[in-house]
Amino acid sequence: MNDKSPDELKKAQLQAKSVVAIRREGGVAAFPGLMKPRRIHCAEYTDEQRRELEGVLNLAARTCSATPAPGADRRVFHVHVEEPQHPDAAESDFCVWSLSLNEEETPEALIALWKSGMPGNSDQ
Amino acid sequence: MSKPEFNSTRPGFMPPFILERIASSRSDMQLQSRAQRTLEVDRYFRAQRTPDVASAMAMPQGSPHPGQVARYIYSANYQEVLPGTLVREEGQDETGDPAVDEAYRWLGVTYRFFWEAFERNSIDNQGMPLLGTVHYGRDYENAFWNGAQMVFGDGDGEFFNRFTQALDVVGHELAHGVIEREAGLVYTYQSGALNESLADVFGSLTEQYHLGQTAAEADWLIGAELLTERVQGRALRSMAAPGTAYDDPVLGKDPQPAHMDAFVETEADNGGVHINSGIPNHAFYLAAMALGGYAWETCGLVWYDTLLDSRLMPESDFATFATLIVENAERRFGSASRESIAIREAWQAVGVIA
Ligand SMILES: [Zn+2]
Repeated sequence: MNDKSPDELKKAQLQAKSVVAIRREGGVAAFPGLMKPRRIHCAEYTDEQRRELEGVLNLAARTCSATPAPGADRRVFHVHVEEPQHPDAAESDFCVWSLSLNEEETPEALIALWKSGMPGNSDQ
Repeated sequence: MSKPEFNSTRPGFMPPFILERIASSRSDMQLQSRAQRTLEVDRYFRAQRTPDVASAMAMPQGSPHPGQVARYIYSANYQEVLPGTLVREEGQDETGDPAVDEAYRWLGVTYRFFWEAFERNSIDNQGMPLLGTVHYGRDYENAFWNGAQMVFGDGDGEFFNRFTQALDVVGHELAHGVIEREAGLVYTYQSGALNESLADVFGSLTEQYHLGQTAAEADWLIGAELLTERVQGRALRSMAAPGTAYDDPVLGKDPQPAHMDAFVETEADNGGVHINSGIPNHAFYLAAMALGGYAWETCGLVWYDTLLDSRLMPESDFATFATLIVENAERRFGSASRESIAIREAWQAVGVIA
């Protein structure tokens, strides 16, 4: 599922301009409404919170396997860290880090982020 | 493993698909290059060739005689563990737990369909025991095949009912095992959509066989029992009218095409395996309706012949599959037969062959 190359060892580093998008896909049917990503805008959080978030992403990267789970109708979590190409660019965010995780090996902390966003964040 | 503290303490959170209305996944997806796509298929292919789940797990006793099913139903007790605790095995009485008893019953019905329609003795045609786990996870709104067994969630009760309620979905999951053993269709892009379509075809046929329905009497829906009252929709998919199964504010609109003109190019859903399966699904429906009668006695035989055809390769695409289907129809029914003609016309009607 993820390359075990030097790239894989690249750690997620979040800046204030980073956006973390977490999406769950797959399952026995492809409901477009259920595949929409949770987007976490790092600018809304403190440095300490961003380090914690980095910790979750890097934990996931360390524990995930390199291949998709066998079988069919399995669910997968996709994580992307996006950064705007120019400070004032309104669109065309650039993906600087990504990870795909089989559902059963996705850390609970990451699933919690997908469900509810950052703690203390009043509903987006 | 220490868990960083990110668990939200805020009660009653709303899942992101409700809160997040920005359909922004497109830009992420476009970043994936063609090379990456090839690599993914390659890795998946290698992973698929070694179904290590089945070998790593001690399998219970299989079918004692061809034609006799061997079922083992487990409960995960609302955790995400497999296979869980054995709660009912072959020959034992009902437990009173609907999920357990539905899984037991529908796995038996699916086994009987494959045996009576195709003389197939279970998933591996060698009497493999049928393992099903129910009560998987909490509010788990999915069912899957893990390479060794079938797994069913209870649904969230809000949008989805228990996944064991739908016979065709139980049949769909078991069929994934058969498809994996026979063709190993790679679970991405067109070969993945064929894998999905075959699972729908055999799932639907299982239900039609069980209910004694002709093609004209069948509903051609997949998972009609799964969506709750509050969902604006009829089922997970419609083989008769792909793209019309649901249109709901939360779940979105059924994305399935019925014709190659509307083929969806996407990286999501393993390259649209549950999306573009609408095209081969609709071909099956059109052929079955043109022929009338019991679909498992007409198209069903031809689709099953093709699944067993050694020329069907793990990465076969729609056109290759359709060509093999037509050849198998001609072999079984004769090249000028009404069956061969109807089946060829069905694949032409969905734009897969000229
Ligand atoms: Zn499936």
